Amino acid sequence: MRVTVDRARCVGSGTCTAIAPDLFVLEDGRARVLAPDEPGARTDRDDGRTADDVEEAVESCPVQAIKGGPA
Amino acid sequence: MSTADLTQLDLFSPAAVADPYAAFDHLRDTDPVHWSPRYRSWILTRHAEVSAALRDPRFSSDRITPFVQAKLSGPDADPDLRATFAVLEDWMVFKDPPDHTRLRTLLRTAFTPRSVAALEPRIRVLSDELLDDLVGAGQGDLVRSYAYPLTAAVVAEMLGVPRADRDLFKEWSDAITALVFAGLGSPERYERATRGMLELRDYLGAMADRATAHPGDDLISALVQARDDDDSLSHDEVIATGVLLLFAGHETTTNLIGNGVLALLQHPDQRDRLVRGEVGIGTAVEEFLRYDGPAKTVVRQMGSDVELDGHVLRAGQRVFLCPPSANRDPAVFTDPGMLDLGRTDNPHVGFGFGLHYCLGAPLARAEATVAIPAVLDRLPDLVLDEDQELVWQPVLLSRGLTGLPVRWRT
Repeated sequence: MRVTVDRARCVGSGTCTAIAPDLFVLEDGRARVLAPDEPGARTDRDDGRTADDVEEAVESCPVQAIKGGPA
Repeated sequence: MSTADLTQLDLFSPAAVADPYAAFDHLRDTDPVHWSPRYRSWILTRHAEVSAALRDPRFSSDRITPFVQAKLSGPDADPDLRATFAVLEDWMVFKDPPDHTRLRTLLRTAFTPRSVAALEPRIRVLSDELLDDLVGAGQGDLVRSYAYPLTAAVVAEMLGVPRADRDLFKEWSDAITALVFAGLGSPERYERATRGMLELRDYLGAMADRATAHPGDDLISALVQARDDDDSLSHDEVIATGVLLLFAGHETTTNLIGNGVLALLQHPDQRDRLVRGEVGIGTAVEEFLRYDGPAKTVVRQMGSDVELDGHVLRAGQRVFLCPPSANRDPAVFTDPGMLDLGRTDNPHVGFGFGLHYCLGAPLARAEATVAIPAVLDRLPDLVLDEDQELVWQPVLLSRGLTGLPVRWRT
């Protein structure tokens, strides 16, 4: 599963971090994607749960700053 | 105004209510982190500090609880006022995490860009109905007869309010607006606001009871379901959230549409660009939000001491963040005082920034995107009615007209 956050577009609403705190983190008020080897991050991202979470984050972002899809 | 005169800064003076931008420009240039003795508050006016404060958790949103504890917990406190503030206390806009996160998560799916796109045809129908009634008159008030009833109807439909009760809803919304936006308060106005809030609370309570027995596909039913499914929401929070949605979805979007149409009427060159299709309505709406958006002041209370630009903002002190000033900061925007509907590099903070970034932003954008072009389309040769004065609401938190008198060709 591939997912990216456009940090220039992000307004730090925390929507994605509420959906999946082990995929996204707020840093200096803007979201970024956690790398699988960071503390607390989700390591396996090829499952259906990750696909669902990413889809929800993409759809819920109020400024459409998240892009995601199959790797 | 010299720097010394800043201590006299009066945001409620008729001049500052009509045009707050002159005062904001002056503050931003001379004292961007300003302590106002009159308001016993810090006033932040630069884009850098406003946007940093909006995403800094030390600038707390929970300012109702301390007020209630200080002023309304004694034996002499007015019970109606206490009940009114009990509703406000449950608003997620006045919460910090984790309560804020919990309440916001419950509403998230209703306001996603996709959910809102599904509402667009309905917004169009409601907008057309109102314009059908207006078009033959040749003159009218676009705030009272268009923006206000339109945004009320949209939010009432989302909540599941029957059509017959819409006017009641409008009355209550008016009353609460006076309370929340911190206007020049007379005792009668306070009393009316309190009464409106309690009536609305009881009305929504009855709606919640009906939704418990017969759930629909409206937001009140969704909230009731969240309350019953996993105990994630209390009954009081269902009602408080309903009040918040009515209020937040109504007043602010009215002002976005009203201020946007006014900006077009005052800038015929920009209006022509829009009508000729040289600029997109989506980009234009962002510029309306920047140029003269509905949020005038955002209030925070310091959760701890913070040093900012050589000042120390102490825990417990109040802070006014001024989006309209940040949105005209020359450090960020080229020709900030100019309306440019084609402006693409537009990091305005009209919807805020950070955890409290307007949940309803996609809905507000959708409503403005439909409502503003529809007016230009249906009311030919629309102009301001120069015989009538434009009156701005004398409130601190919001920027909006009491009416927008216009004329058009029939």
